[in-house]
Amino acid sequence: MTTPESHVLLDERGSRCPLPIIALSKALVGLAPASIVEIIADDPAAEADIPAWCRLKGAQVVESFAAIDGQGGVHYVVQLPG
Amino acid sequence: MTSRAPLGTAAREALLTALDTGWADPTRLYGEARKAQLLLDAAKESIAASLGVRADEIRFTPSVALARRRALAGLVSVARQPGSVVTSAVEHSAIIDAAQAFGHPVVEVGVGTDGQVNPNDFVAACRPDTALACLQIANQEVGTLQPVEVVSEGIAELGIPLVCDASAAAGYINIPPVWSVLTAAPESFGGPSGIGILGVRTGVRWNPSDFADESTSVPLATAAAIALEDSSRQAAQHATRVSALVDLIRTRVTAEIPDCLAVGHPIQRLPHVVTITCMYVDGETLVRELDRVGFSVASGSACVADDLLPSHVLAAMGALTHGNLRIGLPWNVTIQDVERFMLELPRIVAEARGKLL
Repeated sequence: MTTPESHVLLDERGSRCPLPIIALSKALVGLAPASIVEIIADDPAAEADIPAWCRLKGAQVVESFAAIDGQGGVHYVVQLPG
Repeated sequence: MTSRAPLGTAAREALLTALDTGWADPTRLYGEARKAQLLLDAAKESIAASLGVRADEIRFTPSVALARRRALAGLVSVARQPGSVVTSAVEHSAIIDAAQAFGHPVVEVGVGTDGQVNPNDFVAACRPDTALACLQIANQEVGTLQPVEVVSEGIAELGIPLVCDASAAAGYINIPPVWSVLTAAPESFGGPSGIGILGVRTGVRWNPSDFADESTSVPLATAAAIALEDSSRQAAQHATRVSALVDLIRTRVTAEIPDCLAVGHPIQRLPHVVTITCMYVDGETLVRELDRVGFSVASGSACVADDLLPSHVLAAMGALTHGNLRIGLPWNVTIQDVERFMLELPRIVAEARGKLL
């Protein structure tokens, strides 16, 4: 049996590139492989940078959608490499 | 925005001489005007020779931005029907903006992570009613060469004119004469700013509209021609050596700096351009700190751009849009320059990260 995957939610609305990516990279320290990290960001550069960072790190954006709390920004669900 | 190189010595001398001898309006008939016309003709002949085409296929515009707009407008205005405009996703933003301004549907063909379009995808995006296709010779931000020869062959049978923006490539590599219409930027190969080059091949249906030599600055045209000759000559002499230094930088940044990598095509690229991504820093900090120790580089990062929009080129490549450095090596760069750069960069990146992390 593997331990349950960790799950982290980051709200990076209002922070500009490269801060959302830095937050993402810090969050994964100590997480189990294949953990899920969710991040909400509203910097237009994040739209390109989050998938690009995932590609470079072997992670993937499982899905992305407009943040559901109505406060703006895009919600990304990122899965770390297994 | 075009990456500029300093005015070359020969171009500077030519400009100063031509300011005295080529001041007149070349379209007039008095003696000084005829002298100006001769200088202008010589500039066209020289540029045509550098590009491997005919002198009457070369025109000048008051800027490269205007050359790009006129390149497209002249083709669109004679298009038989309002068919699509096909471009690569990594064309200069002025080309994409100009394409969108006509109201024709614009089809953008994506690129791989190396910044290159797949020629089959590009040709497949062209339809019999496509008004024109735009594919750059090389990319301005990452130096990747585009497969213009294969694309040109592929769309020729459809009769679609091919616009090649050579603003990053002219003066640095041989430009294959496969284009219908070409734009080039003297300011990027050691010529003066304030002038653009527009090439239109004989037989291409292109509307010159009110084009006249009257609006051309003869001294700037003369200096542009000398600069292109000079840079092409230096390319023949130095490109192999400079390209090896680019390889060295690409290898060393990846090996020696954590979370740094070179972007763009490793082999099919301009000989003098290297673009590197340093994760977790903003490019502007790196540019400022490198400038402080004597290196002038550009950032592809958008963090301080007015509109906060990330570089469309890097986004199309799936590359990070922050922490990028675009380095254009001059022909006289030495291994010592590269060694010194590689000594400074790891420290600068580490310090910039220390401030953010």
